[in-house]
Amino acid sequence: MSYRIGKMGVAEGIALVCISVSSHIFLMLPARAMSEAASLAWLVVIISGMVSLLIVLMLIYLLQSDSEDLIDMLGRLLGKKMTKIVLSYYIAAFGGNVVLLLRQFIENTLLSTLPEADFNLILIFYMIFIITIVYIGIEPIARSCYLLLPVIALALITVGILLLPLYDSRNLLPWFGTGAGPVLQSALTKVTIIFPPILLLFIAPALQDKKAMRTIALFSLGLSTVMKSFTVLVFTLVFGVAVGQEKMLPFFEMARLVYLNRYLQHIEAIFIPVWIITGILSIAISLYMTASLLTRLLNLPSLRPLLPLLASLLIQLTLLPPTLSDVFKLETFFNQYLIIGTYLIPVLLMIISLIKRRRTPCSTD
Amino acid sequence: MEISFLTKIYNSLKNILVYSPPHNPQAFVLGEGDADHKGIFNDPSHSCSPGQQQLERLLGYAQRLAVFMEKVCTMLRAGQWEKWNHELQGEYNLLLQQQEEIQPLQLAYTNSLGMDLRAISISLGENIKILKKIYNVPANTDIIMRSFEIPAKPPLKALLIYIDGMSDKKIITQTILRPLMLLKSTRQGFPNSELTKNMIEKFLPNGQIKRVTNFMAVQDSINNGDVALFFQGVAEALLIEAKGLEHRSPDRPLIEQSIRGSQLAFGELLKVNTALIRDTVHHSDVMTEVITLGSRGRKKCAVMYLRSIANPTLVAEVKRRINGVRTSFIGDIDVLIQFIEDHPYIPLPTTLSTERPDRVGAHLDEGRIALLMDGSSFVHILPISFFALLQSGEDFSMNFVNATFFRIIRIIGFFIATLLPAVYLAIITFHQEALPTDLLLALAGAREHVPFPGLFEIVMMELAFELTREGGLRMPGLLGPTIGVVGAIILGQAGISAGIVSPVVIIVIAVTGLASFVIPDYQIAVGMRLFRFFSLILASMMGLIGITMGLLLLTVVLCSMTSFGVPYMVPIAPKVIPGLDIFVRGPIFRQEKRPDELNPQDGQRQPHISKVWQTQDPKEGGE
Repeated sequence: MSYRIGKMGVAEGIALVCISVSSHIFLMLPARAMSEAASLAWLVVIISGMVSLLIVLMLIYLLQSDSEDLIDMLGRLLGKKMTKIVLSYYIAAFGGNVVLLLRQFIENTLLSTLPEADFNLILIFYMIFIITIVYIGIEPIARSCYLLLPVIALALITVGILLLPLYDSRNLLPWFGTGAGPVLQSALTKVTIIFPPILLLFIAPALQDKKAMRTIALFSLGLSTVMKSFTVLVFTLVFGVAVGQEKMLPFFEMARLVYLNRYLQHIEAIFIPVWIITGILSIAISLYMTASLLTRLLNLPSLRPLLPLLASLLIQLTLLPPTLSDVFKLETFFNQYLIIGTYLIPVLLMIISLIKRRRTPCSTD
Repeated sequence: MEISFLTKIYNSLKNILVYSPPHNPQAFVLGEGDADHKGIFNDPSHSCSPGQQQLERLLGYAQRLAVFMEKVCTMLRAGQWEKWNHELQGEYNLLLQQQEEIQPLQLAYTNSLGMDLRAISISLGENIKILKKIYNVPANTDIIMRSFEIPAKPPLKALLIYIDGMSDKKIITQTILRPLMLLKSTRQGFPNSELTKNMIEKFLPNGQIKRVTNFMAVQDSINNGDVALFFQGVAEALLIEAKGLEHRSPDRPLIEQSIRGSQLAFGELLKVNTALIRDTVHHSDVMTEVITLGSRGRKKCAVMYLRSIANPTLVAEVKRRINGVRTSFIGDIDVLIQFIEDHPYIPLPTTLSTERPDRVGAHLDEGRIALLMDGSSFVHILPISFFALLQSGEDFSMNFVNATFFRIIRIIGFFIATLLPAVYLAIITFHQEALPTDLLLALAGAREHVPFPGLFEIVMMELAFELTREGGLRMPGLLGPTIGVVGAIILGQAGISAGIVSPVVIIVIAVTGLASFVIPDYQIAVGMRLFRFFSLILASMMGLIGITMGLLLLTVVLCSMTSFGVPYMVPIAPKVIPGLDIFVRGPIFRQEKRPDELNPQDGQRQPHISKVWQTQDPKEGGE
């Protein structure tokens, strides 16, 4: 059955999770984190990364065997009916992720590179490519992630270095900050970047064993946290809190600021491939997860015929918010929706698992 | 119960609309571990032939007969005649009865075999009749059937058959006809049972003679330029090596020219080519397995590998695929590759085509397999990774720093050849801000008088370039390159003068064309040329975003590909233990391991310290 994925190496697993989390660097994450935590925005990203790692490690701990995935675990701990309900929830969560990411990247494209293009044209253009990529399969996607991750990281570092002359260390001074409370609150509610690594649990059988999964979780979340934190830090250093939180396209604005001489200036066009690749891969991963979970829920033999239908449904949903501000409102709502799958369900599973372990005699290992 | 018309319509509609996954067997993937490889080389192939059941019955009878005869022999030696009546008479009668039963079976089996698989008869007349039918003689005029008589007592009739032009008449006269026809007439006759053996040992001065009993082997040999010799009263034929086809000798490489390294290329004869490889790898582990292909073409194809290094599963898979090809005629090795490759619908090569024996030797030593075909001067190496296609044959003949520099130049050339026109189009159409103002003004000035949009301008020049290239290739003799260069100069100059294209586009197309020649492998260069047009279309639609999407799709496709079960993008995606031979060509003495992805039987190419002389004291000599 085609939704049953093959074996994936540790390196590919790390790249897959890292890219699925890192797409937010190129969206509003730096500006939003700055508006909530001011000069300590970089710390918000680090705390979010740590929380995400904690949740994923906890779920890996709950897995009984190397071949078990989150769905099997749900079935074991919650029963068949509840599993179907929870699975439906996760399908909606990954589907919602596709919709929001797609919409924001299209808005990004319109604002930064193709201001005269038609929204629907870009939407269909992106979706055709995403469907094709997902159709090819998750293993090639993971391998591509591994191949392209160094390029993305290198681009971020390059922008960071080229902006060196514009760094203003005073922008990091603590008296511009909002205090520890808002920083912590902001970090814990950045669920859109805490949630995606859970996909690791759904593709668990493809990831060799639990040890490999722990390695993947640790390195992927570590690397993505460093990348995000570095970008937010550079953003803060360059723009400062007051200006930074007003920016709609943080990374694009950073690349635009680069000026070394008359031949090395306004290099934002060079970095278009970087955010496009990250965005499209991230959306493709989420779409794959949506389709594959739907296939499991409905017990279908293959996910490929489902893709065009699912994509057309998600295109309709992407078109729903009339303006960009509505997209942000929707994202806020989606953020709250994700809290269930990110915090409540893992904690619930942990509690049930502990109870079940206490009830069973200690004969088992 | 009869199915109604409506149900039939419903079922056919359901079959069309409802998806059911294809029931294809799982694709071959070269796995880890070598425990399951043992003994694969020696496994007999389990091929099914028509009338197998009949053959099994015949074999059963033959076995029973053999057992019975052994018993009789033992009994006779022991002088136990009385036992005959008591024990073996019944068994003898049973065997007689069975023989009567299987006679029609034997006849039916022989007839079911067809002309090709029939056994050679003891009657020379019958054999001549079958050969005439097989070769459609006398309509087929280049089949020579020479009957003659060996002057023994009594005289022995014989027949010689070969194809005119493919066999060497001198060899035939000197090593077959002369010794047999000039035998002393006083010589006593040959006993039929030992005749062919006697002939080989005493009368035929030829280096390679084979005894066969069926017409399939006879045909294969004759069609390859050998001679078949039949005798009256013997159910065997002798196949005598007498190939004499005129052919090109191994020459300098025409396509893969190099400044350093070997200057020898393959020819068209399979045996010469296999010998050239053996001459490169002087080891008794070199295996050459010949498989005959095509139901009518009957072309020989050779699978070469190093027995102690190549992964047996991989070798078995390659042979399985070749044996699984059913077609009438395969004219060239490239045609065979299209039958057996993993992704025939993707225009990128999954094998490395080379005309250099030194390159084949180096790849065999890494655990790869070489595929050769009679009549083809190219050898295909498999499995390969995408990165191997960007490497040149002379990379290992140079210092590693120089080789790495040239590799990087080639990689840059690869990207220029693939993307430059698309990037130019994207920048002048959508991302003008990416250029410094002075350059932008210069470009705008150059394009001021051009009446066409950028896409049309570039596609027009690209097509002109492709026409020049293709025309240059098809043009006879030395005219080709001259016409190509002259045509390109005239076209470019005329285009600019007429105001149809801008000078910048000419520069872009010329640089792209030049860069495309940097790619060492012709097939991947062609694939990338196609991708260049695809990128141009995407760039005209969405600028750099379109190009990025195209590149991303190409990356995912490349990552999904396999070359005979080995991922195409190894050792990077998936990541395996990398050698120092991907983008950077590391020092030769540091490349201790063979490619991990091939899972060779012996992964160690050389010891950790390969330059042992550095550890020795110069005064001791080091013998």
